[in-house]
Amino acid sequence: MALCALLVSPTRPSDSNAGWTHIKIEPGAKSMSAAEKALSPDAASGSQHGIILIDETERVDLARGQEIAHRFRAKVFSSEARGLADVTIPFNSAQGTLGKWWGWTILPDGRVLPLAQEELKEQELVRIRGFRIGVLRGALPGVEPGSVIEYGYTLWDRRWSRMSRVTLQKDWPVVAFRYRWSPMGIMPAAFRAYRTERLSVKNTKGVASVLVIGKNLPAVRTEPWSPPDNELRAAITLYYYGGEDRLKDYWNLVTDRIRGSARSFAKERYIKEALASLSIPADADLPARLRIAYDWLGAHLANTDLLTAEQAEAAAEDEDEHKPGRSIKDLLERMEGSGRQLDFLFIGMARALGAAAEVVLAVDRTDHYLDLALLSDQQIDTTLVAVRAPGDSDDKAVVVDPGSGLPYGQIPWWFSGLKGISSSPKGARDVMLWPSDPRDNVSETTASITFDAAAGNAMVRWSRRGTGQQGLLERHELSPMTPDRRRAWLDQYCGGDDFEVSRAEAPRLHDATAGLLVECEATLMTASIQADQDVYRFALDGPWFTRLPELTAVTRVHPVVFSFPRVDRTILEIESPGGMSDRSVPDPVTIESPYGHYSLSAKATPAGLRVERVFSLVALGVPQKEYEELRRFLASARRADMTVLEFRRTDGAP
Amino acid sequence: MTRRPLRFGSAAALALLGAVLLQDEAAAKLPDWARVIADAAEPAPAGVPENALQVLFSETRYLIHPDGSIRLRRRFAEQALGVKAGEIGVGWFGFDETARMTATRAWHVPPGDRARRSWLPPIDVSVGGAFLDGMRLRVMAVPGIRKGSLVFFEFEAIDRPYFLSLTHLFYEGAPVKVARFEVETPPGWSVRWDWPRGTGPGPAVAGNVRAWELRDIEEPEEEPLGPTRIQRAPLLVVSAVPAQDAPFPLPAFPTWAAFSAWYEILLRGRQDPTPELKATAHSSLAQSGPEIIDKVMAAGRFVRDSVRYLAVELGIGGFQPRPAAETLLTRYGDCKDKGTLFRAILSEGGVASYPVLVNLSVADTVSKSIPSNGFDHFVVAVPLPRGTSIPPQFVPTVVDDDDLGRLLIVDTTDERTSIGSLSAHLGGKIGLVVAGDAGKLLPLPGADPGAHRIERRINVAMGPDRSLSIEFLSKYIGQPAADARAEYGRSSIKRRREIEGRVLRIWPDAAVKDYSAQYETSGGEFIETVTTRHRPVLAGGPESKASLFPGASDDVPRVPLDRRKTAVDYGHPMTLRYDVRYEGVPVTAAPPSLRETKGDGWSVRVEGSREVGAVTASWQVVLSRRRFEPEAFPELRRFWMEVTSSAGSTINLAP
Repeated sequence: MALCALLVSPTRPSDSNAGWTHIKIEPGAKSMSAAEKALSPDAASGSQHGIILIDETERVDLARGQEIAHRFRAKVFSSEARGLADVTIPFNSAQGTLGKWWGWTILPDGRVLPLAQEELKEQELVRIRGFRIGVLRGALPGVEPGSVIEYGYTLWDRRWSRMSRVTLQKDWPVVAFRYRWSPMGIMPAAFRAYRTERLSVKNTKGVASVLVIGKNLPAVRTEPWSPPDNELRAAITLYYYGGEDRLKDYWNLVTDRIRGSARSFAKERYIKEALASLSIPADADLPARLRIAYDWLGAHLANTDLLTAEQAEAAAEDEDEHKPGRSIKDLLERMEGSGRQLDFLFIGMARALGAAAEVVLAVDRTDHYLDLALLSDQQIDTTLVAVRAPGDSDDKAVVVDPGSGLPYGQIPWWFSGLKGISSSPKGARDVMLWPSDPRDNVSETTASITFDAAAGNAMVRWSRRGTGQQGLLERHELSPMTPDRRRAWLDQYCGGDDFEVSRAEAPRLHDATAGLLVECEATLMTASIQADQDVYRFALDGPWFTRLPELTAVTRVHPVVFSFPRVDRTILEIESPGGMSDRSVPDPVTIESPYGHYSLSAKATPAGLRVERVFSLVALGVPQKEYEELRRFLASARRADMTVLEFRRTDGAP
Repeated sequence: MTRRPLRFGSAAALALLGAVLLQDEAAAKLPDWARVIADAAEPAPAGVPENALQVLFSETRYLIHPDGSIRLRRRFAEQALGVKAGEIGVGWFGFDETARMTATRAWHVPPGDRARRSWLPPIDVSVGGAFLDGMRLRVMAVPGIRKGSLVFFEFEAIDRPYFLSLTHLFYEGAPVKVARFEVETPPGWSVRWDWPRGTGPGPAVAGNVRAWELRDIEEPEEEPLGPTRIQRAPLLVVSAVPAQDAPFPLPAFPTWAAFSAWYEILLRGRQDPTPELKATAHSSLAQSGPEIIDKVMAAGRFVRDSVRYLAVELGIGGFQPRPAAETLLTRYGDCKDKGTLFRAILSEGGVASYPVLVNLSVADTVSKSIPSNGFDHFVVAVPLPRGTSIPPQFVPTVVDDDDLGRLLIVDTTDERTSIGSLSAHLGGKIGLVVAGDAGKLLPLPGADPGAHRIERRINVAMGPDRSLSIEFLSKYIGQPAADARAEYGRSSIKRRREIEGRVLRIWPDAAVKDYSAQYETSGGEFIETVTTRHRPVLAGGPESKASLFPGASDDVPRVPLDRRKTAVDYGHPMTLRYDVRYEGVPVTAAPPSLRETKGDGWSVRVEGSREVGAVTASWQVVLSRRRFEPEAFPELRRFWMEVTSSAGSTINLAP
């Protein structure tokens, strides 16, 4: 992430001092240049269908609104890119005016087909009394593969946005990109650029404006197990902020505010009452006392953000429960509160137990990463709690999420693996939110498989227990579901389309601190066993094996980012089909890699075979240059998962 | 013609509502209709309900005035059965630019509390799917919904439509206690009705008012590989026609021929040639052969590929095509614009054609007896004179009619579907052939399993070091080709990655050497090939017992049946074929023996042979029926079991 903060001073921009960022947006040529003619599709670079030749915008914010000038030019290579010619301009005639407009299609034979301004139609998207959101739409005519399209406009809009994000990289390559922003002088404004450092992007700061110029920006590819889309594209964020004119002050103010909230919530009298409920051995040290308080909170107080459907219905049936509790008194009377209230309660308890406890602000990394230089708390998704002994350094702090159901010392994986902001009394500090250890995230699956040759299928009973992060997301999904939706979800989990599931349950769902437990009974309809077979082959792979990350693409652009480090252990008891006690015992497989471990082993049992499979993933992220090694590891594991067992008839029949 | 009546809310509307949901209620008296419902409503049951809400009453009323205006009224009462019924706080009413909203009202009765009227401002949201259109949703919000809340909505509008066509879908996205559709006509009108999806009640008649009422409608289940909820909801079509001598300014349709004749009037002049159109027609047809089929192919490909799909459906433009010359000039248009340009070009080449109106997106919207606008798409029928030779590629798109003769159906809208192929979404649907007074309903073709095929050819060569080289070629025809082209068109890189992924899931240790794709052959096929190299096969390794038809079973989607209540619908009949050849394999590698199984609407055949140094085998599935009702599930199981079992043959590659 590039750190290119540009703090624009709150002075009125003027043409004289902003001149060197000056750009002029005006119509382009009505003919195709030799270079444009020479352009041809290149799927590898993302220009299979088209290429954006020019994408440029100038935005000038004034107290009364904003002036926008925009120009777009692209070459169309295939039918797929013709949609580029469908022009939509955010516009509301009640709020602004369209000044200049130009638009045309340059056909491969050189003819030019214009789209006149009067052919643009205004479409109202939303109306609430006098408030309207609308667009102007028009379609450039005659577009065919080989055409170049161009359009542009200037418009005046009475409204302006406090924060806008502009992506430089699109789904297609961009040859030339320019964006100039001249913020209004009466408010502090800032500018951030992201992921521009490896691209040909130049940011030029004027006295009261900024100009971003990009050249030959490649298209963005989407890949599985990638950072979120927000973290893949080169982009700029333009925004106004409050009165804080220094970066550190902003986050100090934000964390001061949340510290104040935590302090005023966790009233001493009630904290004492809560602590009185705990049985803390007199000789327990601070970590032990904190753990006891954390476990007590998890066991006795419900997190209203994570109620099961049944708990939510039960709460709704009590009239008083409809009124949201706002105080610690309400929290302790009802023994339930929001995730943030539980955080504040734990902070109060931890401090009363002698620890230093602070709120930590964190972001959901499946959507975006934390950007401290972006002076906006809109990026914050949650609060966590950091506890440590007084005087200990930050790196000794334990970060926890009370009410999450996770064991002490763990936080939901989507908040881990990047930095958070700690609200220490000395001010805001960034803290690393470490992912949990793979040994804390273990799934244990046991399965038994028996065959029914007469019916041509196999009966499977299996269950899976998860600790730590294993099953956490699934619990969050399952809990609020209605029983029928939950049943459908579990049916799919227990088997999928090749199974008839007769039992699929998650019996510990109501207990927030219990890990996920799923119990399944199903008939495998594709077992394809027949009574008259001499040899029966059965592929080991099935839902009882946790799914391996699917990374089959030969090449990779982005780093790989997994959810959390983990260990998956499966024990399969397979009964030989009737009359087929001669079974092959496959060779053991062991695969070691920097990213994890895989082993598969089998041994004969009196009834058939016992197979043990262990898969561990120790890496959270893998750089692109190591992708091939990671892919080979996963491919080898996948290959071993496809092991086929062979059973031979021994009873002389048929 | 992509103009559809609106019935359902939009996410955008709900999101916006979140922003304006402020406490804005005042104590109020319920209107009489709502009071009756409120008094009779039972409290919400304890526990987690199966449905978060239920509709207690839904009524849509049309009052037709002699001046051609229609007064519309929708009344709606819902009850929150669970805590997650916040959506009942949002009422909606779909309308377009011919309608003017005249009233919007909402009331809330919290459990054990008095009624309150919501004074939040209504929101109008554009919800049409076209680039430009006038479809809107009037949304009204009621804040503070709780378990047990009762909510009442009332919307009124005056509509001045372009023609009179009454259709009502009894679907609310929740169970409905009482649903009513009411029509009041001027005196002396004749009113007929039909339930195209099955049987339904007749109307209660009181003077000039007719009311159809359904009670206790369960929310239709939607299951994978099955019909959607909307496709399963009861649909009523009503034909209201004035007395013969009564003046009425709107077109009304006593027969399908009348509908056809009216639509033909809308088409008048739309194909008129201009010099540009004539020149284009001549240049595109000049490259074709002399046969009608050649001209259809040339004109069809030109329109399909040269005119981008873009729908501008403002005013009568929702029904009437733009002039062909205009579509040609701008090179954009919707289905009716593209179809009309196609007809104009054919006409220049001396080939006659008919427009065909059909519903692309929803099944069973057309009543054979009651004309109504159940269409959202426009395709073209080209009459083929007796004796015209039809190439095999076109055979699945030809329908034979006693009156109109052999008709070749062509859809120039779908850029992915080959001319000579018909989208599976159209196959078997009832279309209206617009042929003036001779216009009639006609089922579109779609029963040929050969029309939609996937053919895979796998060539495996084992080298002296026991390593494998594999060529995996897939040929798609008909709907599978359209689907593959759509994916490839969106991103060839992504498609390549997915196909490579499929190959690597079958052979995890393969190294992909090459991928190539042929977007559309002259026969309308989409072909892609992947070549791979593999490390040497080890004795005892998982690859030593290789699947003879790898991945074949996955080409036949399946779903659990034990608890299923709705039909399994494959969408179209189909043929799947695998031809495999293993070269250089050990002499112990044996071909499969001949095996052929047939059932009701399906067949599976496997055969193989041993040549010098090679084993060849083929596997073919023909599914000639697309739908299995629950009573046919045993047959479907038999089919699936045979597919799995026959595709599970292995070949021994161990030394």
